[in-house]
Amino acid sequence: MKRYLRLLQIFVTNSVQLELEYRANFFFNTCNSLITTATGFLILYVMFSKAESLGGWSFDEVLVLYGVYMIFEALVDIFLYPNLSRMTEYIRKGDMDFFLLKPISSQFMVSVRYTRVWMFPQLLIAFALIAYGMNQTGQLYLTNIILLTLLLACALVMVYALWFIMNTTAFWLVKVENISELWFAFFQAASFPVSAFPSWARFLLTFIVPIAFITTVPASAAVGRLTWEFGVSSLFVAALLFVVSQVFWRYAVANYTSASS
Amino acid sequence: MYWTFRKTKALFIRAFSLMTEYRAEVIIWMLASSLPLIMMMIWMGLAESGPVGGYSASDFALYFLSVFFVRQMTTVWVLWELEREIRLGEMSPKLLRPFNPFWQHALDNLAEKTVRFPIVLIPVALGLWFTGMRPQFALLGLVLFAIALILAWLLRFNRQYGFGLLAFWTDQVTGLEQVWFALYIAFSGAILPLDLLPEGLQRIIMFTPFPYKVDFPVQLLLGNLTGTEILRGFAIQGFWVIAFILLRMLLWKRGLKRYGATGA
Repeated sequence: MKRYLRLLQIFVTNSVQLELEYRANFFFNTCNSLITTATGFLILYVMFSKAESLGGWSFDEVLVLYGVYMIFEALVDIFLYPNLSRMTEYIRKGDMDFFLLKPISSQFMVSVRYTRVWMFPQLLIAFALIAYGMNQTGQLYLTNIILLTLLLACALVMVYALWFIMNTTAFWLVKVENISELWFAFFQAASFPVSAFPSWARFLLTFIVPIAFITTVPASAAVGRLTWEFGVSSLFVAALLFVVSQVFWRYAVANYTSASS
Repeated sequence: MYWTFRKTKALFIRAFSLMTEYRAEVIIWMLASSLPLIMMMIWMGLAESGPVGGYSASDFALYFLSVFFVRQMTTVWVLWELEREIRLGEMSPKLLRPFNPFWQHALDNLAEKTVRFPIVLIPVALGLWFTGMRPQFALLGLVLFAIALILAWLLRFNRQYGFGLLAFWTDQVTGLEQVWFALYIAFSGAILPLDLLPEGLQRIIMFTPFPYKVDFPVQLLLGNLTGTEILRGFAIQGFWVIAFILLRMLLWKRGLKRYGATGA
């Protein structure tokens, strides 16, 4: 465990050094993140200037949900995208061999090798937004905070597992570098409460692509709208996805024949 | 003239056969830009109990299906190709050919569009069927839409080509592109009909290139614009097309002098 923490520290330091080499990109990425966040607020502003509620959620409740969405948007950008999107390249070029030969968990290595630090400020904004929204709706209670934390942890497991499953398909579909683009496309749906969608789409977003469990469920807990069915299902879905991702990874590695040798 | 035609034909056939091989990717790229369809559902939900800012639920459906179509038919990725070609020196052999590499890139894109067109019609038709709409378009509207769509493609292609050529000077053009893309998403109409924005903001973005990439062609198709609005729209769209063509030509001339041909 200690060795893994030490490795993590080395990886993060190295990533920061890599980032600082490209200062213009650092600036552009900060701009990009600010514009994207502002655009999100602009849509909500326009929507609530024309209507009173969005799928039964008030403006302050939607702000909490948007905060939860921003957390995962940032985490994907900091940890998941820079690592797992490289997996296709590792496999195509045969670099995967190096990871498999290291005396540590190969899944750990391919998951945390690179981090993109410029999204950290967005995490802070997101937490501030959640606190503000909870306070405005008068739901800033300890029980809500505990439930929110628990469900955020479940959502984190789901997001990681989904990314890992998506990218493990690279072992077979060597050419699908764009597969993470699909995540970004569908995840945008998560910036709205699932109740704002038509019923057939609601079903799709809850059970087929479980985006509802990632943002709507934790946000419901934060504003005191959570029903226990969804809370329990959340734990169940997280555990299921995690196990599937593990089994799938082991299966993929066992069938990996390397590209160059 | 004859040789120009022969060259164009050869380039197009090459690009077309390449693209038909990438059908699976074309479908993934299409799914990856389903944002307008997500926004369509949200806005339709909001308009369920009555029109929102003058748009009924079916108006929103028609608007966003058209947005989806326009974005699909004007997608451009030439910046990533140029960035790679310049950085790795792959540009060198292309310079030996008897035409500017611009034409090859342009024809690659158009060939991909011919492959994409029938695929894109499927979700649009499904969307129309699902929302139960049988839209009637005026002939004039369709003609104006076609012109605006071509201009929108010219605008997007020349703009991105110009930005891509900046790779002659810096290796960080993709960061700049992402900032532009974020602005494009916000102000092109991809997420909301632009006339729902606050008035002050509308007046500013009217002069930027963004509305003329998506919102303007779509509004023409739906017949939502008055005569003066149409004339003004084409004037501003035309201005940006010419401006970006000139910028691209200038950057090409200057950049080529700096090109170090890595790896040659």
